[in-house]
Amino acid sequence: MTEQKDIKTLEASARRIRAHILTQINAAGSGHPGGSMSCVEILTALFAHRAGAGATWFGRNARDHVILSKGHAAPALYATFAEVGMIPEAELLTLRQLGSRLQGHPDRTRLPEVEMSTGSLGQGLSVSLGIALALQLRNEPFYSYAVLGDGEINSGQIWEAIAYAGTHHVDRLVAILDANGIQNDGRIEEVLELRPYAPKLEAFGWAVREFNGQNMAEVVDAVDWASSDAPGAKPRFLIAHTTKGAGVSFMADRADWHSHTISDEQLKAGLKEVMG
Amino acid sequence: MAATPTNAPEGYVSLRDVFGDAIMALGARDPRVLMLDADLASSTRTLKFKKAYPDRHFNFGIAEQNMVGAAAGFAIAGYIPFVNTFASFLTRRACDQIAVSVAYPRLNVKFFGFHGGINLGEDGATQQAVEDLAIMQAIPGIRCYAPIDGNDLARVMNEVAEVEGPTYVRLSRFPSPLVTPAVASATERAAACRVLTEGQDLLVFTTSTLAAKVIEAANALKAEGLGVRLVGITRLKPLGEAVAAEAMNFAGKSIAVVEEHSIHGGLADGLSALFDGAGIVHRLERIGVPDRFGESGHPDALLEAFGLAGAPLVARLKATARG
Repeated sequence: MTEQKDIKTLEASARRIRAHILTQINAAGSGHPGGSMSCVEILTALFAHRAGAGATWFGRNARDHVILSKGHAAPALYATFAEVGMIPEAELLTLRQLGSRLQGHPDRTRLPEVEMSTGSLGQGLSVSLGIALALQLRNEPFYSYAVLGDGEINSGQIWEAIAYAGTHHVDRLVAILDANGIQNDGRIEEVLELRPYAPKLEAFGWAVREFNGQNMAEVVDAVDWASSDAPGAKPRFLIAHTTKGAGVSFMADRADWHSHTISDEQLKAGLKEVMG
Repeated sequence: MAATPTNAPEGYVSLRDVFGDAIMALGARDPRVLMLDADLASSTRTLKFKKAYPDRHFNFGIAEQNMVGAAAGFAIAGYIPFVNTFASFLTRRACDQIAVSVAYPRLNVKFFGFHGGINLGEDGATQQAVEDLAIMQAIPGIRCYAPIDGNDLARVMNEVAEVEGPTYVRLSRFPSPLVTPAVASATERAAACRVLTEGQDLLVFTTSTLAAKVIEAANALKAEGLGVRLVGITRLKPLGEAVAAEAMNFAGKSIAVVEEHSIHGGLADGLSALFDGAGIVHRLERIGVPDRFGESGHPDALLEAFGLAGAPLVARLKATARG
């Protein structure tokens, strides 16, 4: 069990990451605030807690691997990189500008700290699967994590990867679903309803855990469970129940904040809310 | 060199048998080499590899998109995945995954499209690929090959194993005659272009195992007194500088391009762009598959029906020479 003081430290990181997300999208003039804000605790738990990422972490061969499959949440990924010291904080303001390493969706050729270029939804879990198989092949004590959106899992390729990982007991693979309940065009139930998730995934041979994805202690606990032998010889699926736009009242749980500009006034109000 | 299949005429070699032997050698030489299949391992000749290296063969089932994505993951982790399935299923179904998960991040994935073109024959249009090279050539950063025969494929296998980054190799199903010299060493690469018949009257470019049919047509024309300089192209992208030099000598004349591929986005389009860039005045006669899908039929009958072999091809080349 993670110490309470460590949770407090991670929560402080999450607040700064939220502030960075708002600042970046305000500076860029476009972006995806809703889905960036909902996955903050997940990314904080993965990079700051589980991987212990820092300036030199990514250069190591032997380490965990994290793919942000829902690539439109790129501002959250860049903000997390800055928070753990992987990229300079000042660079965040270059998001989406011509020549920037911080592309609108993550690009590993420009920013090597990005594990995988993503943005065409539905592709990241397969890549994480390939990495997990490689980890098994080399018998390395690390895990391959994919952060997915609940709109993203509309894609058939996701279910191809789910079927393969279940069939072949790929226990180095951890999928984390940012289940904020809203996709681009509206609520999940209005577009494509795939819930309940847990019984489907269990039928495919995955070990599943559901929790409040905005509660840092619960997220950390779930990531620790998935990164242990406890679930047995099964791939692991974490269903994080989150809120789109979490942390800012006027964005929270609203489909129109999926892709949205942030005005200077909204930035000021948003920063006040997230930093408290 | 691969053993000649018992049902093939003397001197004929199947590209996939050469592939099967080449991956055994590469697998022994480099433990990073992996084979990925999509429920067609018996067709792609990877079963021997699977038997020798069971941990390094992965069958993804009929799920090509997941297979391509997993290949990207293997490449990130330092392996060299060979992705094997029919050209049609690979390039049409997994196009976005090839582009976004492999080419855009410039990962070292080797794609092999089996049964390219229409010579697969009786199975018909859904299994045939007349647009695979157009798709793969249009995606930035993928080197594209269509070997002329078994010997040529051996050189291509050397090359794709050596070069870093994504590659696509189109293979044909049926055994075809050996028309290029045997591979000289394990490091010999594919030539930028290769003169298959000598002649002064008409310049013809071709690619893939269809080259054997074009050689037959060129020989028939020679008997009629028309000399064909036939140039085989193995690597369609990037095209070598030597290719432009060939056309320079025939500037102002009609040049024929014969390919078992759509006339849109294949060798002819690549050559046209190369010649335009080099300022070579030319008129290309595009002898390929017009804007249509393939169909069922015996491979030889199909190629003739599409005007890519036999008397119909001879007639089209003769017409081209007349300008």
